[in-house]
Amino acid sequence: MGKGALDLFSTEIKGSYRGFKERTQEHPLITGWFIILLITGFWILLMLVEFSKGIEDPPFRLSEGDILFTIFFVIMAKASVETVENTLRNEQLKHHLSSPISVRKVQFSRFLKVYWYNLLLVVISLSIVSILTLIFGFEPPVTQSFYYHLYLLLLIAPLIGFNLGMFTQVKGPFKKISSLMLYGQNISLIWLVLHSDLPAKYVSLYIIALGSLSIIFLCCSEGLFWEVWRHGTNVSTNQGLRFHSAGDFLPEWIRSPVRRIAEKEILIRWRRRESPATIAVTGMIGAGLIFFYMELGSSPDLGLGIGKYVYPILIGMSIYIAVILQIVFPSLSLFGREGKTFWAIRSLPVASKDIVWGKVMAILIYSPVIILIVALPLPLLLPLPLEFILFSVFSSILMIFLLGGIGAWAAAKFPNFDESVNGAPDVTTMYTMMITGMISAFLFLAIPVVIFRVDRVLGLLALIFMTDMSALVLLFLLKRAGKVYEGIEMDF
Amino acid sequence: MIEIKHLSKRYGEIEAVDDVNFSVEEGEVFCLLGSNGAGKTTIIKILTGLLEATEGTALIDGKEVNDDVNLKKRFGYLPEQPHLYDRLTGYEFLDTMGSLKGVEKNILEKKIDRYSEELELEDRIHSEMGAYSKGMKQKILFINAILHDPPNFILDEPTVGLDPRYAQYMKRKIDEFSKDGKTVLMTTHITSVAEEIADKVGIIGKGKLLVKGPIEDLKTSTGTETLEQTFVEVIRGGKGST
Repeated sequence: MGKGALDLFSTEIKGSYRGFKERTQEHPLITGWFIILLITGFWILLMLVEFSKGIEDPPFRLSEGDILFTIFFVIMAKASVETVENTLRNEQLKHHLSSPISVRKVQFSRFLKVYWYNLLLVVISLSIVSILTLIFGFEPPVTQSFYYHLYLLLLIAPLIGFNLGMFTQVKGPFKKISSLMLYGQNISLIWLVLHSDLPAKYVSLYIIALGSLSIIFLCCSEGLFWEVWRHGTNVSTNQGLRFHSAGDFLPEWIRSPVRRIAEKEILIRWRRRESPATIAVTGMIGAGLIFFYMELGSSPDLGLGIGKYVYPILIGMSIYIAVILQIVFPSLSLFGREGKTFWAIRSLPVASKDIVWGKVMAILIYSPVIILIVALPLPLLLPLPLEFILFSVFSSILMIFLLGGIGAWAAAKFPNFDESVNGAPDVTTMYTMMITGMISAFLFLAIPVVIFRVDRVLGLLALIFMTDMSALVLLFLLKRAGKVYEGIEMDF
Repeated sequence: MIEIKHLSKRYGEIEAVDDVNFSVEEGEVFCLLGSNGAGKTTIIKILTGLLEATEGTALIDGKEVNDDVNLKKRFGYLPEQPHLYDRLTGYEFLDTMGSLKGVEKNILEKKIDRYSEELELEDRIHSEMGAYSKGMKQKILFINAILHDPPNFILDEPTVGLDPRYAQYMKRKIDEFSKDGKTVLMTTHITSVAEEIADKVGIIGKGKLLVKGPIEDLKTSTGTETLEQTFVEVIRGGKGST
């Protein structure tokens, strides 16, 4: 791949690093908060592992294969999403692709970037885990082969994620489904091998073999990369499917500036195929809940004496994850995504709070999907009493308001106009806001939950009250976001 | 009317704009000339609220530039680079921007139709802008700047990317604005464009406004025959006065 790819890679890394350093130095408190949250998060995880070791005769136990596959899958999925969003749908790549440098070198430089960031994340995570294990004397209940397999899987996960990302962007549903099914078999085989009775060295050999094949595939997929990038960044010249006016589909009772900004955002998100993608992910979370129901039955007892709380906890966690993916992450890039088109909204004679409102509305408009797909099906299926069902629905609304507000504020406070990542927020911002959202949701839900255990009607009323409060928090944070937005300078 | 008073913008050690003063009266076309990186676009960005001045003030119709909605309605802005929403059609973009600038729906539709016809965009106005050429994007930006019929125009390199026919169209339009009593501040590094349409010019170099005044006066003071020669002379640090 040679020098050209490495030059491109190092240039991009330098640019990203400088931007990251600048943003970090600008907000040292948030950086400190991120480090505390990160270390605390791993500490809690290790404490949970220690705690689980003490449970006698648990109804189910996570095998090493389950843990390894989950870690592999998360890193692979992350790399895949980054490949699609930051590379295959990144129009700025035209500058590289139109240079006298081969497509393969451009592809490889982008792969290195995805690989580098994911490995960096893994190295940092493993370092923290190792230090905490040494300090607190944790003894993770895993075998030595677990570590070998973990390292091998971490090495191939971003590679497989990059290749998978390319297959998700193949043009045409038939080609896309068939190529995904073919490549997806590799992932299924990893699951099978990790759960097989094969000796550890054969498992390692399989992972190495799959990694080698994936590298070979990557080296031979120049044509595919070129095709999927063109498809991913292709704009439609089909005039028949266009709106004559961009302002015809939201109700007129929404104030004009907010409505028009929201309509613009919805159109762009839909055409960039972002909205269908997030709805699909929410659908997967809903399907996961149903899967748990099919596995555990209607009254699970995990041997912890918390049988009746299993589903409420699962539903709560699922709602949180869905809100993070569908509301918080898109909110975080409200302004960064504008990139160099930022001048257009910034010079508009529209109040800053209306601009923020319009942009957030375009994201909140999909929140009923979370309620319909995640918050409602399982409570209805079990079936839980009406109070529980209402509790689930109002909890979702509360989290949507609260976390949506946090996301919008963070978007204005920490905008990332880095075009090489399509304005996506830094991992520090993402993680910090994710955990801050979790803590906030916990604080808002704690009192209603406690009351609900004593008196359901009163608990429900307390939740409705807290939902109102979260709506106020949303309004306050949007107003703050508007103020902060006014201070964003377009010096790029 | 546009006024710039003791305007400075610093980026750390770099003085992008250094104590610049000038004003553009109603019905006047003022052209800022300068080499690349001279500070023209920085001044324009401060005037449109995209950047904050380190020192000094920028005023439009006597009001200091800030995030005031009514003030933003009083100017039309054409940015230097044609960055537009690739996933919106030209019509959708203009329709959204026009309505947000307070243009009534029926008038807006007529205006978009008229201008897109005049600029021969009607065949592509309902295609996504990502497929537009640079010239087509420039035309969309120009329509966007004039849609709400503002009393002031801030145009950053308006003729860049246009073929001579449409560059001529744009110059004619700017001339019309001036005759209608509107204020036009534009930047360019093409001296012939400035010579053709500007009432006054300001030559900017390394963030400083080196000279300003009517074109003929500048030529006389520098002893040059064309504005291009005047520009070169002034940038070289030769004769001239403000």
